[in-house]
Amino acid sequence: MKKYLLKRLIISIVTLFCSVLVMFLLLNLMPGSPFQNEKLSPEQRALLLSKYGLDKSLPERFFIYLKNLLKGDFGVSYSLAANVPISDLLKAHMPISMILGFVAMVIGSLIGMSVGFFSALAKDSIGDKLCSVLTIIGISLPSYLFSIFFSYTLGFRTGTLPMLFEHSHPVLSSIMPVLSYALPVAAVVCRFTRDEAVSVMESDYVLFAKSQGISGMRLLTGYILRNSLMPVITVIMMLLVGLLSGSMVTEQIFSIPGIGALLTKAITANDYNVVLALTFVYAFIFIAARLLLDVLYGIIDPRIRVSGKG
Amino acid sequence: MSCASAYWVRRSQWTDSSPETMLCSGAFVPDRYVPLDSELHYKKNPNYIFADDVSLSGITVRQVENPQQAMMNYQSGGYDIIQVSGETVDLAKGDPALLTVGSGNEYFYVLNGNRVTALKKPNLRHALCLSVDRESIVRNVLKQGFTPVYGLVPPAFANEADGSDYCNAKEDYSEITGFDPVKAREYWETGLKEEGISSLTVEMVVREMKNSEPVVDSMENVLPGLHIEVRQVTNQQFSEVVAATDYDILLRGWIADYPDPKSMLECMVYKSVMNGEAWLNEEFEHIIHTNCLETDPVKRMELLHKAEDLLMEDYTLIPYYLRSQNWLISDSIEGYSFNFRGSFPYCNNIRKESK
Repeated sequence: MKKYLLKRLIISIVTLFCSVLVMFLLLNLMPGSPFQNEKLSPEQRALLLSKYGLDKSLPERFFIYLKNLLKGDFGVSYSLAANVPISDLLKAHMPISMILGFVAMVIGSLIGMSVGFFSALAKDSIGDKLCSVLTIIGISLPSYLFSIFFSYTLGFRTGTLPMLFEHSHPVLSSIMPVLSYALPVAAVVCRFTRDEAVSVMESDYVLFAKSQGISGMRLLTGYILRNSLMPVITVIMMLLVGLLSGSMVTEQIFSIPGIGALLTKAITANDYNVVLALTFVYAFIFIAARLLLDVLYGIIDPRIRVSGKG
Repeated sequence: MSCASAYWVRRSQWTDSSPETMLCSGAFVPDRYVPLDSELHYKKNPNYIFADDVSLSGITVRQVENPQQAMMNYQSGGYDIIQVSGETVDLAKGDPALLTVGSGNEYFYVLNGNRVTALKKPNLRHALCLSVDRESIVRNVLKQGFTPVYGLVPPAFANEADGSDYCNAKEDYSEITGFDPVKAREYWETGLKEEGISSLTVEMVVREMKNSEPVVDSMENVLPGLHIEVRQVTNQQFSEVVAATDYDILLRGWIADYPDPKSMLECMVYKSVMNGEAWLNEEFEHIIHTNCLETDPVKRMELLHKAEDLLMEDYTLIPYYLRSQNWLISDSIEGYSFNFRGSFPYCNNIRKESK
């Protein structure tokens, strides 16, 4: 197990390093600079580039960046919020994206798992078919369409909820964004849960259990539910990564000051350091989630542990 | 809220990101500040000299990226004042609450004859200046509440020494830049003959195609043999294109720093980024560089008029439109005012009627 964990950890660190390297190169090789003010003279622009060390060679800049990154220093914003440490920006903007994403994940997963499971139990019924149609719609439509729909109906037409995120009413103004995030999650989870539950219900060991006279709640919880939810948890974990890192479009529609909106602004302003820091955060969350999943697989499934030895 | 109401004494006082470390004055002061947040809140300043006259307890300023969202919020009563931009300006037309203000932001095409030398010929430059039907384009195609302009100093922007509008006293540039397809064609044909060519291909650099497409159509329709290759660049690439003067025609915008003709005219001095060493006139340079030494306000304005005449008579640029700011202001709001840019309403005396 230790060898397996060490191998996964090394792979994760290498992946993280590669993603930082690729992002650094891509951003720095892109035309333009963070200092786009048209009123700046070439001399003033050169002075700013020199001040932030952007006149140094690319390898030199990369190693300085990497050295600072290892100390947890993401540098400062060049143009978006000049000289503000990026760690301050992350502290201010990350929690809102993560909270909304996590709440949406919990709500979406609970709805998806419950509906999917009952849909599997009532396989081929009208309810099951209706559920299939709704989940396909939920999966096919991008979440920002839900955002626009809620914003127009619940916000503009009826005035039931605030149309934009407000610090003075954080809970009330978060309902629409959370719903917009949660519905596609519920659709995906529902689809997976239903298919897995149907497949488990038709498996040999469930048929064998039934022939042994096991039925009712014992069959449902002990045999069907437990086994059908294992692959669903993998899907939820991957969806969670996307939700925690915020949605650029949804955050913009509801004016949520999260990291998705921050990334959009940083890309537009060509603020290298902010874009790099945010992509590092995204990559870190994704790789950490994959690592956690790998570890969990190793604990749960002995076959993975055994293959890891080879 | 006016930006000028808050001052940060040192850089660290900005980067500390805390209202407690900011030194502020004015009717309202920030009580919550998070860098790049979409919401700022200002509370009434009890130390303001006219605090007793300030009726509001605070003001919330929201940054809404999507103009439609802002409009819907305003229509549903969520906001009292919104800035209207893009296509939403057309939707707001006819609304008595729509207010168009500001005149310090002008867009114009700069001509550079350093790459295609034919563009140095006055006749060809003059033809280009006369070939843009900006009145029709700005009013019927762009439809964003912009105003067509014919000189570099826009109307209702700066005053003469006696307080009258600078533009009322200046020369009418319609002979130079007004739309005249017949004259434009005459100058064009003469210019081509002088150069010994039958057609001319030039490159126009823009950041946004939408606003320049009708101008290109207008120029190509009026001037036979003119081919304009339009190159669209990103914001990031734009400053590099400008620095290298890598264009024949370039759409540029200039925002004045203060309401004085000099703040517009100085952008075209030889060494400026706007000019890019494309046009040099010694007299213009001399006037702009020494104008601040002239203490007689009447003479000073005369000199600035002279400078603008020199600039326009050399067909250096093709004025396009004035980008005004459009606001929807609820009728429950009173006591606001705007500066020359129209970017932010001054809210020191603002009042809101409860409805």
